[in-house]
Amino acid sequence: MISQDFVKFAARASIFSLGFLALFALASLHFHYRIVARDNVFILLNAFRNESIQPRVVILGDSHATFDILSAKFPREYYNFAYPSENWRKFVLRARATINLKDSLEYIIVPLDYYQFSPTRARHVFFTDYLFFSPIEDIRDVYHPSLLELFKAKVSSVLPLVSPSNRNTYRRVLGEDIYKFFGGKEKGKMIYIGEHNELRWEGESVVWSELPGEKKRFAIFDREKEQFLKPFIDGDLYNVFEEFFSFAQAHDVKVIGVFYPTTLEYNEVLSRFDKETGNITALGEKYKNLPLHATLDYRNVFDDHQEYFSDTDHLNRNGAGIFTEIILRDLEKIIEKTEP
Amino acid sequence: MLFNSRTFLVFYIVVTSLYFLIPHRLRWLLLLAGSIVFYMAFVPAYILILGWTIVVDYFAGLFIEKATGQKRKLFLIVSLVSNVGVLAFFKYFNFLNESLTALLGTIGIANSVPFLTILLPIGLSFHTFQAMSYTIEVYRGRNAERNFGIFALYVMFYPQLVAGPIERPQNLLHQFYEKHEFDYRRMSDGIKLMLWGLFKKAVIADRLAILVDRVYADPLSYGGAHFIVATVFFAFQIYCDFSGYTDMARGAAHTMGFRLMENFLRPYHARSVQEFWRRWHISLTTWFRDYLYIPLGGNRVPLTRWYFNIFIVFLISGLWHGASWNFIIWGALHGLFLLMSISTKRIREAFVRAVRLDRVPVVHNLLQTLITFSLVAFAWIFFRASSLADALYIVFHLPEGVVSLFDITSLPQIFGGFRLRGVELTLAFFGLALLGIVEYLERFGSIRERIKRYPLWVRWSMAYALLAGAYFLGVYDDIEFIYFQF
Repeated sequence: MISQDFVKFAARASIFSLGFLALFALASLHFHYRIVARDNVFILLNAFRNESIQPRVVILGDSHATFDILSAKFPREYYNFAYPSENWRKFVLRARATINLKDSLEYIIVPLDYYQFSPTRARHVFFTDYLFFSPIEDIRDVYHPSLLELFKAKVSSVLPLVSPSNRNTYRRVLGEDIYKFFGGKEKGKMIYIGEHNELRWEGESVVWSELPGEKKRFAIFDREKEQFLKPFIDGDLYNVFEEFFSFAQAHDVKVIGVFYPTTLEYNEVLSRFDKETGNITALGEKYKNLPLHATLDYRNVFDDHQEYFSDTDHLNRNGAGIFTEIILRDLEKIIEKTEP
Repeated sequence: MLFNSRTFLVFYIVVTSLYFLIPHRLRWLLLLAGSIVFYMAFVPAYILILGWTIVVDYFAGLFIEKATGQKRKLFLIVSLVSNVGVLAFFKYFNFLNESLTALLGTIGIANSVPFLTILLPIGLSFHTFQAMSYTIEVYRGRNAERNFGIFALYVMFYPQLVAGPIERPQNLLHQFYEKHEFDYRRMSDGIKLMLWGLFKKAVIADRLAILVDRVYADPLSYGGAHFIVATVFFAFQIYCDFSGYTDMARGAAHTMGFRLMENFLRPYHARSVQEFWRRWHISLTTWFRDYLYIPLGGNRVPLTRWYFNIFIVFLISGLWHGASWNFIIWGALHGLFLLMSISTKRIREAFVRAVRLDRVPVVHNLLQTLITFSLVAFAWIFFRASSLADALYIVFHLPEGVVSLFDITSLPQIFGGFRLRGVELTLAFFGLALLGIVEYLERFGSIRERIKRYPLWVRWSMAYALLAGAYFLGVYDDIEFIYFQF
């Protein structure tokens, strides 16, 4: 028998839950206008859809390709479609979208940096932000999500605050807004969109060689912890990488691999890790079997110019300007050579 | 199935709703089935270990009750050996084997005994101790439980199955026979308690964990000041983690009408280590008191034996927490603190009178609380460190941090060294401040009882704030409760 207490509780619990849902809806709305609408990923992915953009060469990759190459210095037939912190799963989603959307495409430039297959990178399995951009078949091919995972992603694409990582972002942004409201200095975006739809970042003016020893030590330590972990090669991520080559070949797109510039300190950590594990050499051997149209290795290109770096493995604005000229010159040679 | 997961939310709503919808005679069956599902959500196969404990202790209880003379003791020993045996096999085998390897290694002999490569069943120490308390109580004259299902439920009642409170048969068994009607007030109280527990776990403990894990995972990269901050944070992390779990367990049980024992009573307000143990993990402390300390003679023995009794209880308490030298040292440190506290009592009292500290009780109390907290926090280093070498490294580098922490100008550099976002650190301090305020107010009586007297809109606003706080400010990365491992 249902007691009066039960009815009273059920009624109040329902009203209370509705109140919380209203609060949640308000927060979701705020999240959409405050964060989603201003999100670099969404803005840039949308911009890429523009039919007037018809590149022959598309550059994919993470922060290395994003910040080391200044898009403004490239001819119109090149398009820098890289985005920081993304991994091979997202590169492939972008590559597939490019192949589908841009008939002009002939070449894709991809990063070959060894850490791309590290467990830290492999952990990024969040694809909700691509649901509006990539066909669901592509997402299935790359992420192999279960029905439940797909359902969760769909839900969080509609109700973004259901996702803990979105709540983290919301918390951070709200914190900064509150800080600003009380007279605090506005904290600019760490990464922002500059002219020509190119991404810029707060670290681009830093000169690595002028940093104090302790800061450098911390930076190296961070990188080592993030990138040189065991198992060094995540099998699933590497499969995605290999499948990308088959896909590119099937669509008659040539792939050029690039090793981006790194500091002496970074290279030292890399070779120490290789001595201990042999992982780098092993990965290098695997690379030899890839159907690469060309490989450009710039790891040591600035060994005598450490002032071009802003951190362990990113160039500052000055270095990026010089590097862009170098890579463009090399790419033009390769592309010219293969043209009939 | 973690208490701070969506799966548990669904599980809880289903089980609690059904509990009040089905007839009273079937409720124990529902709770038993629910508890089995709850436990099997971790590692299904381990239900067999739990099953073994239940079967052995159920029959041991019946035989002890029927038997007379030495046979009673024999059946009790069988039960204790079985329980401790399971614990020893799963929890201590590798530790003993490792210690044996090291020992034999010193005399040049290789140990060929293989190591176990299995996971420790979740909450093993908790339900084993709960089962043991039953057979001991039957041996002491309590009636054995006839209904196998009810006994199984006593051992595996889901709210307290994996991290306590470790209940006693005299407190819990009879409650399974009581008919609990749906009660609005009780339901509301239980949910609020669960919500507060969730807040402590998700907002405070798991946020502090980010900083603590960073430092303790790699001590060589940090300095003394970082160790002090991380250790103080850990003291609050483990408290919010464990007491948060207990609140959720007690709240969930309370909504169905079950009364589980208090496990924490503002432990960091303690003014001595002795008092700390009357406030921290009360269900374990009283278990050791009733089933180990008193049977050993308690304090009604010669002084040296009394000291031995205290020390051995803490040593075993350390071992109960985990199979490593770190936990043994942690227990031993608490034992030593207590012995020092007892043996220096007169000297300390004389000192307090001499410096007239007794005339300013506020300062005296504050000093005692601070010293107790410092000792407890110091011992936590051994509890948290990944290895004995790490713990010793941290201990030896602590003094260098004391000076820099008193230099306000160095604070930004120290906190910057953790490489955490400002928002995360601010939230950590906000959580700690809120905890401090709530616990301070609790000194003057139950805060929940006080809130009940407020108008509805105030109560609801507070509930919304707590719920929104737990949801939006919490860390939800599937971080297990620390005490699950014990």
